[in-house]
Order: sequence, then C-alpha cells, then structure tokens
Amino acid sequence: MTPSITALRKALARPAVWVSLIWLIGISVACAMASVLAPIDPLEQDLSNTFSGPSALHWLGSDELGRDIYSRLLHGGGGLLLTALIPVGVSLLLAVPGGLLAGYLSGRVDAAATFVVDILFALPGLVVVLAIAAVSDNNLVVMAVAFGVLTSGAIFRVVRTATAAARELPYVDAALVSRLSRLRILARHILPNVTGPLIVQAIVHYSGTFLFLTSLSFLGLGFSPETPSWGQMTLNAAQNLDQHPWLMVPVGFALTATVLALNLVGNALLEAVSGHRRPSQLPDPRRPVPDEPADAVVPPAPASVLTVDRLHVCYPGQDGSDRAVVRDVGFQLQRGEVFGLVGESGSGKTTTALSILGLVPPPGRVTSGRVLLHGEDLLRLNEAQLRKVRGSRIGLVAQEPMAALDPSFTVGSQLGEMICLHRRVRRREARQIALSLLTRVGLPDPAAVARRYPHQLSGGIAQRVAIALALSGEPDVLVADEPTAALDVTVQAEIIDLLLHLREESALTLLLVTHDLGVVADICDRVAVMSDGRLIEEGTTEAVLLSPAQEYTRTLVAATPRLPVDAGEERSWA
Amino acid sequence: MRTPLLDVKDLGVEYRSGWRSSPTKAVDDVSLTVGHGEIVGLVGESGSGKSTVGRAILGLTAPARGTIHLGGQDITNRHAADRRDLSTGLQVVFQDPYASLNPACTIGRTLGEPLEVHGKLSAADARTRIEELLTRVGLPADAIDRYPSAFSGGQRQRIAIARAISSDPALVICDEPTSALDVITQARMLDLMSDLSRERGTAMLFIAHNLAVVAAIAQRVVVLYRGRIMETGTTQDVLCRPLHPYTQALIASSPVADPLRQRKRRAARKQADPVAGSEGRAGATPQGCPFAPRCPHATSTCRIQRPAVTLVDGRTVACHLFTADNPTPEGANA
Repeated sequence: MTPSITALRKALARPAVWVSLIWLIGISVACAMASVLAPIDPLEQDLSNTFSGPSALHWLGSDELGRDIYSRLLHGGGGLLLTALIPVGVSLLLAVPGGLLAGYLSGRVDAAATFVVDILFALPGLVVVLAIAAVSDNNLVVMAVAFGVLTSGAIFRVVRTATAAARELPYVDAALVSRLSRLRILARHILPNVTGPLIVQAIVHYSGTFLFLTSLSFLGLGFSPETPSWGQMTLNAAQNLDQHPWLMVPVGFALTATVLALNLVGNALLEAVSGHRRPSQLPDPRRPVPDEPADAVVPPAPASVLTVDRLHVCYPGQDGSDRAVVRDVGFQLQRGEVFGLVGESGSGKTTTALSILGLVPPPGRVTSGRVLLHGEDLLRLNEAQLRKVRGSRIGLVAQEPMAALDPSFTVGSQLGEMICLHRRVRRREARQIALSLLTRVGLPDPAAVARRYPHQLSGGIAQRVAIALALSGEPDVLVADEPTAALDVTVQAEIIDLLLHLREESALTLLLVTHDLGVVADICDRVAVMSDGRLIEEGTTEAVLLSPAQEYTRTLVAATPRLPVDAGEERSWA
Repeated sequence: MRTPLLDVKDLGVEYRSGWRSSPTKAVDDVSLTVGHGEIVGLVGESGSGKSTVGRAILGLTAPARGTIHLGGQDITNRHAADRRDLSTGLQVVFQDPYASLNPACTIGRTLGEPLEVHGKLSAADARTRIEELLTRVGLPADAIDRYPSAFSGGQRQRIAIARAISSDPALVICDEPTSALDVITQARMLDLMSDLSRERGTAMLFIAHNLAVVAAIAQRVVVLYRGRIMETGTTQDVLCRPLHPYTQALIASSPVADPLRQRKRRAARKQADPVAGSEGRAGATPQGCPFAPRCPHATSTCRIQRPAVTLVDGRTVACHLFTADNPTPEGANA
C-alpha cells in the first residue's frame, strides 16, 4: 500500500470526516432521487395550508404558498450541486495544464501565465458574472463557465507551486539523468505530487462555487423562478423571518451542513496530503511520575554529578502496546568529565539525553527509572520545578544551532533575556554578562555578534552562540546532542576545542551524544555504547574503542572509516 | 595515453540571486578527469561547490564556462533530458535515500526506468534483469513489487545504486551517497560500491565531505575549497602527504576513532601554526587564493594573486608555496 493511501485512511477514520462524507453522499443521493423520496410536487400550492410547520403531510412544513418544503429542498438541491461542477471542471481544465507547464518550464512561460492569473485575481468575480448575466440573457451555463474561468487562478497557483517543488526532487533529477522524456517525467513523477493538493483545492473550490451559485439564485439569477432552489428558498425564508422563523431552519441547515461537510472533507484531505497532523512537541505537564526502581535506596556514587539509573522510555506502538525505546539504561557522570553516549540512529541515545531534561517528545514517556542531579531525582519534579533546573543547572546544546536561536531577535537580546531569567540581574548588567559569555565561547568581536540576527551567522558562530545560550544560566552540566554533526570538520574541530576549554576552565561536566567515534576519541573520557535502546558497553574511551568487549562495539569500530596515517602525524610520533 | 572517460576543463558555474546582483561563482575553473573504471573522490566542505560540479556534469545545472566531455562527446551545454543520443551512459546516486525514490512507484518501476530508454528489453527480460540487480545489491528479489516506504534508509540507498547501474553506465556520479547512513550501513555500502565498480568496470565520481570515507573507496582525490581545486593526486599521496595548507588543515581537523592516535594528532594540530579561525573569511579576495585568510603561510601575494596550478610529482597543487622550480618548499608540511 502506498503511503498516501495509508494517510487517506487515517484521515477518513475521524468521525467528523466520515459524518461529513455520509452527509454529502446522502444529500446527493436524496436530491437525485427527489421524485421518489418526495412524491409531493414542489410547485403544488395549497393556499389554505401556508406556513404549516412540520406535520404528517408536510414533514418540514410548508411555505408562504403552502408548497412542501421537504419536497422543495430535495428538488432544489440537485440543480445547484450539479451546476457547481461546471465552474470546477472549467477551472481544472484551464489551470491544471497551465500550472503544470508554468511550474515545469518556469522562466518566461511562468511569468506570462502568472501575469494572466494575477489579472484574473484582480477582477471582481460577482460583478463580472452579473454583467454576463445581463448580456447572456440570464443563461446559467454561461455564467457558470465564466465563474470557472475567473476562479481558475487559485487552482493554477496550487498546481504551479506543487509542480515547481516536485521538479527539484532528487528522483525527478534521477529520471532526467535516465533520459526519460519530459512528458513521461511530468506524468509519472510530477503529477502524483500535484494530485493530492489538487484534489483538496478542487473540493474547496467546489464548496465556494456551490455557495456562489446559491447566492446567484438568492438574487434571482440563473435559476428560473419556477424551479425550486436553495437560494430562492433562503430568499423566501428571509422575507418571512419575523413571523415564521421555522422557514429558515430546513434550508439553512441543508446549506450550512453541505458547505461545512465539503470544507471538513477538504481539510482532512489536506492533512492527509501534507503529512500527518503534527502532535505537540511540548512535554505534557501532567505527565505521570515514572515508577521508581525496586531498590531505589541505592545511593549514587558520592562524586557523581549526574546519575541515570535504570531508565525506561516507552512510545505507544501502533497496536496500542508500549514499545520501549530506552531499556534499563544507567550511567554516572563525574564532575568535570566528558561522557560520550554513542550509537546509531534509533539506538535511543538522544531519547536518553532528552529524558534527563524531561524533554522526551510526546507521546513518548519515561516509564521508570531515576535521574539524579547532585542526588535530587529530576524525574519526580513537576514542570515548574524542572523549568528551574533546565538552563540553570543543566544546559542543552542541540545539533542544529539555528533551531536554538529565535530568528526574529538579535543574539544580544536573546542572550540578555536568558541571563535576566536565570540570574535575576538588571538589563545593563545582563548585557555585560552577555558580552563576556560571547568572549568566553571564543568570539573575537562579541559586540558585533551581539548586534546580529541568527540568519547573519555562519554555522560555527551560531553553534558558539548556542553554547553561550546554554551557559547563560551557569549550569554545571551540559548535555550536547550531536553538537558538531551539522558542521564542517574544520569548524567541528574548533567547537570541540571550545568544549574542552570550557571543561578545563570551569570543571563543566559534559554529556556528549554523538554517532561519530572520531569525536568520541577526540574529546570523551568515558563512553557508553547504546544499541536498540540498551546500554551494551561502558568504559574509558581507550578501553571501549581499542579493546571493545562486545561484538556490536567491535563492528561499530571496524565500520568507522579510517584516515591513513599522514606525514604530519608520522613526524609528531617520532 | 587513452582519453579519459570524463574530462572536465575550466568549469565555471554561477548563481544569480537577483536580476541585478553580480553572480556568485559556485564553481571556478575546475578541471578534473575520471578514467575508465576509476573511482575519483571529490572532497570539500559545505559551500565548496562539490555537488554543483556533479550537477553540471549530469546536465542538471548549466555551466557558465568551460567544457565537459564524456566518452569523447561534448556534453557541456546539453540538458540531462536532451542526451538521448549519447553513447556513454551516465547515472547518479543522490544523498537523500528518502527523496531519491518516488514513493508512488514500485521498486520495479523505479529500477526499470533507465532500461525503458533503450527499449530493447521485453517486459519479462526487464523483470529478470531487475530481480538480478536487486539480488546483486543485497535485497530480496521480491522487493520488485514493493513501494519505497517498505525499506530502511540503507536499503533505499541500495535500490538507488541498483537503479544507477541497471543500464550499465560507464560513469556514476555519487553525491554524498553514504552521508545519511549509519556507519555500519555506510561501510557495507562502500564495499558494495567498490565491488560493483570492479566487477563492471564502472567509473565513479564520488562526492563527499568526509575524507576517511573517500579514502576507503577512491583511487584519486580532488580537494575543492570555495569553488576551486586546491589539490589533486592519488588518495595515498593527498591523504598521507598533503601539500596544500588547506588539505593539511582538513586532515588535521578530521578526528580518528583511535583515542591514542587522536591524542597525538590533537597535540600536533595545536603545535602547528594556529590556523586562523574558520570564520575569518571576510579577507578572501576574488583575485587571490580563497584560503588565504585562514592560511598560516599566507603572504601578501596570496591575497592579490591567484596561485597557478602546479604539477608536483604527478599531482597538482594550487598554492604559491609551490612553483614549477620550487616543488618542495621548507615548512610546507608543518
């Protein structure tokens, strides 16, 4: 099954969506079979029985001429629902080839097509259609086609954007390199990327068109006054709203429910197309307190700054049962030590590090274990208490420095804010501290860096600033999650130098999460190897990397590509 | 000497960010060759233009200057889609194992694509061929009817390699094919690629940022920095006896997984002339050496004059420390 079908199934499983679908199908079928389901002639007047209200004869009551509302509702919907397909069809016919060509060819074709669409957007749709109604002798089909042309811009833009984005995909490049014809690439590789957003846009468009046509019939345009239509019924109801409000209920409900259902289905499809609904990344403040290990009384080693004890982290699996991603992990960090946590992707190393800070992304949760910082169990703190620990006692350096920085504030103001928060000092003082922090992370011109916005920083400087941010609360433990993975090697070497310098300068304890055994060899005193959620080996860096006890560690070390010994090394070895 | 399979001469690629802004030179005067069946590593940091060189060869980016010859035919200004008559096959493996396979196509369909162009194979023959390919890259033959979502990153990259070799191309451009993979997967992938290259005589241009990865697979190395070639030579020469100060800095900065050796390398790096911070890029002038602002050996000449490409012991270096009559200056290896 292709992933898009899976996503579609998920979207359709939501109650609001299937109720909407049932309504849409139901109303379409009912309108199509109106003569069977509503045998009373919608035009038959009964002046002795006007405004009757719901009764056995008139299920939804009768109107000012005694006509059956139920019958008028069913007979009046079909024309609208069908006619609304015309503008959508016209729009699709114009906009899909246009959007595909403009998006794929770009350049001048794109500029010209976009110009035309911009003009279409500038035209007032209703006014143009009213003018067309006047010259076309109130011909509904002509008006619907004109409306379709006028509103084709929205679909054009969606198709064009999706096409232009798909054109950049590596598999499209690969198909080009395989010398597939452009037409085939367009049909096979680009169109599937466009269909999702296109279907969504078409449904949204249909819902808008349906409402527009209802407005036209409300104004008495397009639909002949003899045939019933929902717009005309709304007009009648509006005229009698003071005395007979019931009249508005059936048609109002039918209209609102239909448009709402169309939009709900459109939105659900949009979510299915653009990926899953993103769950909140914030940890749940009401998270349950994890179980304590059975013999929790065992005290940590006295010199240990941070102790992780029998930690278990679970994620709910697809079948509802919990899937453990961290199992029985324990280690201790001594003061001033650099401790490496290595493993491949999915080994649970990052989850372990994040659970120390209470930041396991939901729906994951720590199910049992202890995280002791100077003897205090962080897992048993509430969110408010944890907030005081984060930043001021444990700092976090993330892999992507730009993610740690807010793009809309200068470095100086972000740093100043953090310092004010953690150290309770005045702004001017905070500014001084910020500058000294920037100097401390090795930036030669701190005042200039403080004035810059994150996008003006190179990767290396941004990571230095992120480290300064992590240090702003004067933590004595720093958790660094792949702090150099996004950087070039020459910049990585400088950041590692900086971390080592900070450790020497202020006895900072460092938990370094990394996949790179080279970085481990360069900086770590001790290292723990994780695989499949378990900590499989722990020891001094020399012991683990040079004489690994476990088969997995041996494979990992052997798989790490090695540099041949270079001349510079040979000389220093001699 | 046989003409090389791929011959890139003085390649220049420019990007324009706006109508009026002056173009940025992503690739500047790059010349390189790849011989038949040879694996050449193209190494550089981010922004070095290494991927752009690959895209220009593939016909996905138009070059501003220079020529590209493949198998003797000029392919310089021919877009990838206009190369149907080319006699020498060219294929590609990209970095991202997720984006490089169409999620809506079965593996069989994806792998069959390069075969379709030739159009000689019957559907049954093509299927047999694809199943053989899948087995060769270490995947079950029944993968043919499945979708990419059923496979892990490493398996997808094997599929991408199978697609690249399915039409028996003479040259495969590999753009960081292993950098999204875990080390164990990476090691297996590198083995597979060298084996395939040896078995089928497929040449590869292996683009990577990791020197050690290139050392594991390439016979020759080209080192790129900010769009220009710094140094070329055999892998052994360039990695064991780097001549260019940039190559030296690159090697010294790459940590090795042996703590004892790494400790000595760290001490040696500290002892060597401190290379100005990587951020001191402001001083680079378009007419000088791009590495001059960070180079411990830089002189005023380096900032105003572009170093000529010098041939030293069968390898090339673009550095003022090396001139035709002074191929081994004092202190160049410090």
